[in-house]
Amino acid sequence: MNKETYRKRVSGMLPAGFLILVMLPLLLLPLASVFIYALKGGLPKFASYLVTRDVLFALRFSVIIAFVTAGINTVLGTYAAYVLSKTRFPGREQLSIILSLPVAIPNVVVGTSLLLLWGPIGLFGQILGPLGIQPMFTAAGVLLAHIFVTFPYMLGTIKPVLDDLQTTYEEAAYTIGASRWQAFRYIIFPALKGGLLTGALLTFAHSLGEFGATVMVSGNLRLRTQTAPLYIFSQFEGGNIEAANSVAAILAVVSFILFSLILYFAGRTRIKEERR
Amino acid sequence: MAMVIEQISKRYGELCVVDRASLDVSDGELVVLLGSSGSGKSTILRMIAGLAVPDEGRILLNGRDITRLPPQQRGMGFVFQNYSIFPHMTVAENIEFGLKIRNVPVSQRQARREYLLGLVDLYGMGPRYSSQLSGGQQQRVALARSLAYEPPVLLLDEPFGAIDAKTRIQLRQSLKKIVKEVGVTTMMVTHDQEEAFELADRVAIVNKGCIEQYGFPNDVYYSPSTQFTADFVGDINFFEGSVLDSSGECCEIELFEGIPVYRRGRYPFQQGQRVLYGVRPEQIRVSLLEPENYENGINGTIEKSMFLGDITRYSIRLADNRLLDVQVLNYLFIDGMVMPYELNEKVWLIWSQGSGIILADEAHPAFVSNL
Repeated sequence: MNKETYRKRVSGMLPAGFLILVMLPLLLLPLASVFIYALKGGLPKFASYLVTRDVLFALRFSVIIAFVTAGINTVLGTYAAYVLSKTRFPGREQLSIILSLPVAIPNVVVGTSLLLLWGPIGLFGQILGPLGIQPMFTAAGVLLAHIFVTFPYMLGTIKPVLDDLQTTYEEAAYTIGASRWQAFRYIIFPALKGGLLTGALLTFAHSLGEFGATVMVSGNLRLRTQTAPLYIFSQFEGGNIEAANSVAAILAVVSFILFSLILYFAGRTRIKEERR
Repeated sequence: MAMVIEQISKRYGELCVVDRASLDVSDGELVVLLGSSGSGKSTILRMIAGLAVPDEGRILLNGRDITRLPPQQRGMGFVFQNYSIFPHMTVAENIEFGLKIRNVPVSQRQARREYLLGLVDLYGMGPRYSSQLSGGQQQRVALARSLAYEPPVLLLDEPFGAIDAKTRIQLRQSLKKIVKEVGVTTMMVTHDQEEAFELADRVAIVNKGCIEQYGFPNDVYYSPSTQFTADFVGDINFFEGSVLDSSGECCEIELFEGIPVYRRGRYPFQQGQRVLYGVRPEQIRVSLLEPENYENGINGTIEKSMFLGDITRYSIRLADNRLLDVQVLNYLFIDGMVMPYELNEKVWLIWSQGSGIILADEAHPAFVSNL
């Protein structure tokens, strides 16, 4: 390799090197430290932290909540995206902004507002209380918070796909004789498949890691409403850092897998779009 | 099936897109709506398909009022300008889609699909996706898909709009052959007058939401009823004039500077009435000799010459300083029948007294135009 080639190669690598240098303390080292601390006492100890009753409950509860949230928001988000993209009514733009607000509002504020609405002193809470229904500090409350917080992710994934989907596909289906449902089932839905999967995974991942709203509405009750992030927080507060890091490491791995899948499906959808 | 459109109108807010349009289409006829962009022709087609609802008027299919029926219940065949081939379905699935939702048995669907693939000359392409097809092939798939369920009327919205010129000519010919073979009543929208004349049994000229003229291509071209139609369907030189005499079998008009021109036929004009006289460039011949007494003629000087392949177009400055366009077939020069004309050469422009159109001058009297 001559001097010129060497210099070119080095100068080509400089921007990437600088990026890694900046990102190292911001992203990579904190992530690495989670694994370092989690595995500090060796693998057997790491495993022992994960099989306690509290951890197993928190992980299982988090996964169930994330799964149900993703399911509900897949339906709700797709419906909202369809209404906002394919129908025309006054205030459509404003509604679109309102439905995307949960991304902009701090999750703690979301939790507080839910508490104020559904809690014992809230509007709904006062109506439901005498009937023996109290969603706050229960799994239902956690689910409500997660649906609220993650709603824009599905909407944000599906709406652009629907916006780009030419109206004439739907119109072609109608002229051919398809009903609205048949047009959705045979024409629109197949076009949304990639987006639905990406949106569902995104919702699932965000729900799995949700903390701010959950801590407000769940009461952080162990073995009842404690999700994995709340467990990590509680263990940190109690000084049990290795136990906290073990669960954090598991969440980080799951998140990594989920985001790899999201990128994969998003990439596949983009390629399909380009082929059209 | 025969179709009648009675006085349909469509408004979007203050904007009137279609204004009391009426058409009658006979069974098996191919009618072309010809108009410029934004003239309302596609909206008429969409109202027939049920994709837009008229604010006024009726649409009758074989005598049945379908004005308020949703598109699903009309079952029209519709070919969109962008074809709208469903990208996640193969060609075969696209063609069979209309039959599938009508619960036609698989064996019948397959038989119909194979017939249609043969009809549109895409035999063996059933397993392909739209991304693997050219624009022309996609257009054929769209046609086959819309014919699959034997629609009462086939509607084509600028079907050749996105196709290159050469393929367009081939597709035009095959489209006419296919729709005539199938015998389906067809209505097509285009802004291309050549396309309209080649395909249409009858042509409707659409302007600002109104049907300006509806008739056979020959009549629309040679006997346009409005200045817009005359101008839209081909090049034409228009002159302002006044009627000298239209009492007999020939109408005499005085053009600028007292030049008289004659047009054979009976016309309902009064003596002295202001009129527009139009003559198409290809109806005029250029000559160094004076016209015979049975011909019309004006002299002028060749100012501009444009070679356009099969023709040469001359712009000729007339005595009163107006320009008039004529075109001469180039093979006449090549075969030595006519000597090419030089710039600034003084020539006669001669045309038959059987050609030219006369329209009442409803615009302001100072109107004078040429191309």
